[in-house]
Amino acid sequence: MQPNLDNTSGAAGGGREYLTFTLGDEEYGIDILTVQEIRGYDTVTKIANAPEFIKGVINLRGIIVPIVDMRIKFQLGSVLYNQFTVVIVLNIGHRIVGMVVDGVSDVITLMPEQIRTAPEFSAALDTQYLMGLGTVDDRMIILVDIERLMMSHDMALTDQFPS
Amino acid sequence: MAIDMSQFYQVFFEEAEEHLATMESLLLELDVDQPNFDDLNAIFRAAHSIKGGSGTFGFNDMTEVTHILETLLDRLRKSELQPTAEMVDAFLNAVDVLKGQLQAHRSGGEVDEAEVAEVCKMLAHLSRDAPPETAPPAAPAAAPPAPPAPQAIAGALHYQITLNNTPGTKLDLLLEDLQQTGSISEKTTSSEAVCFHLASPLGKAELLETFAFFTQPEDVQIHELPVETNIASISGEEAYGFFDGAVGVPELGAAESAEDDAYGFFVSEDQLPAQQDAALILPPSEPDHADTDTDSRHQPYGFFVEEDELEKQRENAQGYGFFQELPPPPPAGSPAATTQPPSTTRDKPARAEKPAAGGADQSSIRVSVEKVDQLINLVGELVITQAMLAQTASELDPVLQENLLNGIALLQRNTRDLQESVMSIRMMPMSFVFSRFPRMVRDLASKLNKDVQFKTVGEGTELDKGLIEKISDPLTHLVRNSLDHGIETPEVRLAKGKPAKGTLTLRAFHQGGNVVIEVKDDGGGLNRDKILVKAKERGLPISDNMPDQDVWLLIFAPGFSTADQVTDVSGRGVGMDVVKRNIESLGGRVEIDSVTGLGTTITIRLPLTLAILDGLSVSVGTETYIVPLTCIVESLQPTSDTLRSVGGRGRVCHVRGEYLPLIVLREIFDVPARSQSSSEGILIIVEADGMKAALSVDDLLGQHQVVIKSLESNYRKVPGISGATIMGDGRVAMILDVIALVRLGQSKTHPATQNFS
Repeated sequence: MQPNLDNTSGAAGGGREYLTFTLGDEEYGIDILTVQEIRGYDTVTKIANAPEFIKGVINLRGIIVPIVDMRIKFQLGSVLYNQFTVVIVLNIGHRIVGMVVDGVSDVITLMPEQIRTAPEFSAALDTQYLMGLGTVDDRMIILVDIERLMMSHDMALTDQFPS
Repeated sequence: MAIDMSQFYQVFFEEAEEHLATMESLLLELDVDQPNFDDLNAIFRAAHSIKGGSGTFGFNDMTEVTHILETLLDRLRKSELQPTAEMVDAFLNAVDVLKGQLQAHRSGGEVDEAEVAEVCKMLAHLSRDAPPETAPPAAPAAAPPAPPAPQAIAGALHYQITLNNTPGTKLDLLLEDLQQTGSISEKTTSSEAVCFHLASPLGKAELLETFAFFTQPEDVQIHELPVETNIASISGEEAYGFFDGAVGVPELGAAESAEDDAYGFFVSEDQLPAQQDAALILPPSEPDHADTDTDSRHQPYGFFVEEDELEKQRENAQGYGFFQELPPPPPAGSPAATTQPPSTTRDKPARAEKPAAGGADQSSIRVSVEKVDQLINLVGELVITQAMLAQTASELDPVLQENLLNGIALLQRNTRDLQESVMSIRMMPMSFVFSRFPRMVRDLASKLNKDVQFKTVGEGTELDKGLIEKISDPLTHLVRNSLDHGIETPEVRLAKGKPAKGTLTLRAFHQGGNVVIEVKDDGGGLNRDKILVKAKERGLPISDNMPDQDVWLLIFAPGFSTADQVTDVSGRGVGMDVVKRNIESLGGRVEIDSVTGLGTTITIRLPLTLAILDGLSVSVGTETYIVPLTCIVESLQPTSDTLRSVGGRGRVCHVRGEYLPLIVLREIFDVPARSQSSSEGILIIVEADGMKAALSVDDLLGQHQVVIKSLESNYRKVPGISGATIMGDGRVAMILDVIALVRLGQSKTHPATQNFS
C-alpha cells in the first residue's frame, strides 16, 4: 500500500507487517496499515433490513461505524458475544468499518519469499480476495486483501451494490 | 517602506469580487429613464474602490479599465450624460472584463486583451460622446487624466450662501441635502456663520425651501452669482481638480498614489488661501470674510468636521474613499504614514484615520468554512456530552445534589445557546443565490427574444451555507426552464391577452422548520395532454384520470421533455430528474403547481440546516428511533376500533374521520417484538410530502435536539432511515425518513402505485 513504509516497518527490509486473527481454526492476516484500532464488542444499534452478518452500527467517538461479524459471514467459529469478543476497526478507503473476529493473535513480519500465491481451493473466502498464503514456522496464514473484500458486493457495505 | 503587499492580495480579491457583484446587481436594477442617483453613486464607489485597490496592489490593467469606467460613471452621476441601455451593456461588459482580470491575477489565467481593449474603447467612446459642458473630455487611460472638475454642473446656477450659525441648525444634514442636487465649494465656517459657494440646478425659491427645513429663513442669505464669477471660480478650481483626478492614476505606484490622495484629501484645505486670494475676483461681500482671516487657525478644524460628513457623498474626497477600500491592515501602515502632506496642521492625520476606524462598525472577519465546520462538530460533541451528563444526573437525588443539578440545567441552557449561535454562523441569506439570477435572466431573455421582468422576494431568508451552495444549481435549472418553456414570446403573450412582459418571481420564506423557495412564472403553464402523451410514449405507468399533481410530477422522470425542439438552453430532458434528485438529497422536496395558460409555480422545500434536528425519540421493540418533530401532527393511543384492515392486506387507522395508512415500524424494521398487539402501542400521525400516515410505535420516550450523523459515510443508504444520531447514553439511534415511510405506507395500501423504490 505505502511502499515507503515498507523499509521502516519491515524487520530486515522488504518485509511487511500483518495483523493476524483467527476465525474458527483458520488464521488470517491483514495489512497492519489498514487497522485503526482493536476494541471490545459493545452493544450495537441494529440496522433495519440489513444482512444478518451486519450486526449494526456503533458510536466510535462520534463517528457512526458499521460492525460486520466475519464469523457469521463465513460461517466459521462460534458466534458468541461476551467480554472476550474482539472488534478490529479498519480504516480503508476513507471508510471506517468494524470487524468481529474470534480472536486477535499477533503482528508478524512476512518477507516476500515467505508468501506463496494461493492455489485455487475451496475456502470460505473467494480467492480473488486473497493476497497469498504466508508461512511462519509451521503456521499457515491466509493473507486477505481486506480493502477489496470490504468494498465488495458480498459485504453489502457500500451504496453501489445495494443488496 | 517595503511592505509585502502580496499578503493582502487575497483580501483585495475577495473585496473586489464583492464590489463587482454589487456593481452588477445595481446596474441590472438601474432604470435607464429615471436613474436613481444613490445607485449611480454606489456603482461609482464600487468602481472607485476597485480602482484604488488594484492601483495599490499594482494590478494596473484593472486600474485602467476601472478608470475609464469611472470616468463615464462620474459624468452620469453628475447628470452630464443621460444613461442609456447601451451604457448599461457596456458597464456589464466591463464588469465581466474586470472579473476576468481578477481571475487572471488570482489564478494566473489568460485575459482576452482584445476584449479588454474593445470594452475600454466602448466606454471611452460613450463618455466622450455627449458634448462636454465645461469639463475636458476624458483622457485615454494611459495619459494622466483630468476628469471634469467636480464643481462644474451642467446648467447649474451659482450661489453664494451665508448661514447664521444659530444653535440647533442641523448644518451637516442641510449640507448633505444640498449635496444631493449640487456641489458645495469654498466653504468657510466661523463661530457665527457658515459661508459657501453652491452650484446647483435648483432655482433660488427651491433652495430657500430646502433651507426652510433646517433653519430659520432670516438666518439665510443667498446671492446669485454672475456668470463670470462661475467661470472664474471654476478655473480657480481646475488646478486642484488635477489633484483629484490624479488619484489612482495607473502609472503611479501605491505609495505615490496614496500621497496624491492625501493631496486630494486636502485640496479643500488648500482652497482656503486660494479663496482668500480669489476674493479679489469674487464680488460678493461676505460679512464673515474678516473672520475667515482672523480665525484661520481654527478654521481647518471646523472645516474638516464638516468635510468629513460631506465626503461621504462627495466624489472629490477621493482620499477618503481610498482609506475605506484598503484592507484593514494597510491603513495603519503605508497610507497613514504617507498621508503626512508637507504643510498641514496636526489635526488632519487623526481626522483622516477616523473614517477608517468608523468603517469598522459593521466589520466582519473572513473565516474558512472548515474552521466553522470544525466548530460545529465540536459543539455537536458538546451537546452529546451534555445530554449524557443530564441523563446521568437525572438519576441523582434532587435534594442532595441540588447544586450539581442546577449546574447541569445551566449547562444545558448554555449549550443550547452556544449551539444556536454556532449554527447561525453558517446561515447565509438567500440573496447569495438570488443575486446571480438577474444577470442570467437578462442575458437569457434577450437571447430568447423574450421580455421578462425578474423579481425576487425574501432575499433575506437565511439558509445553511451548505444548502445555499447546493441549491443554486437546481435553482438555475428551474429558472432557465421557466424562461425557455414557461414564459412565451411577447407576440404569443399579447395574442393570449397577457401583458407582453412576462414575470418571473423567485421567492424565499420560512414555513415551519422549512425554507420554501418558489420559482413562479406567468407563462403558458404545463400542458397536461402533452405530458400524458409523452409519458405514454416513454412507457411510464400512467392513467388518463390521474390527478394534476401526479401528472406534473412526471416531468421529473429521467429523460422526459415535452419541448418540440431542443435549444441550447434546455429541452434535452436531462435536468429535471437531476434537479429533483439533488433537492431530495438535501432532504428537500419539489412540488409543481401549474395552471395551463396562467403559469407554473415550482416549490422547493428545504430543511433549515442539515446538521441538527428536533426529534421525538420513540421505542420500537428493543430499538430507539427518532422521528423528526417537523413531520409530527399528533400522537394518540389507539382503541381497538381505530384500526381496520382493508382487503385483508393493508391496515388503516381511523382518526378524526380520516382513514390513514398504518405503518407498523416493528414490521418494517423487523425488530423483535416487545408488546403484543399494536393497539397497545401509540400511534404517531405524521405528515410528509402532502400525505399523512400513522406510525405505530411502542412508546414515546422524549423530545431531543439531535445532531445528524450520516450513515452513508461509512455504510450505505438504508430505506426508511435518513441518518443516525448519538443519544445521551452514547448509543446510536436511527432517524426515520418519514417521507420514505409514508410512501412505503401508500404503496402498501395502494399496491397499484409503486413509487417507493
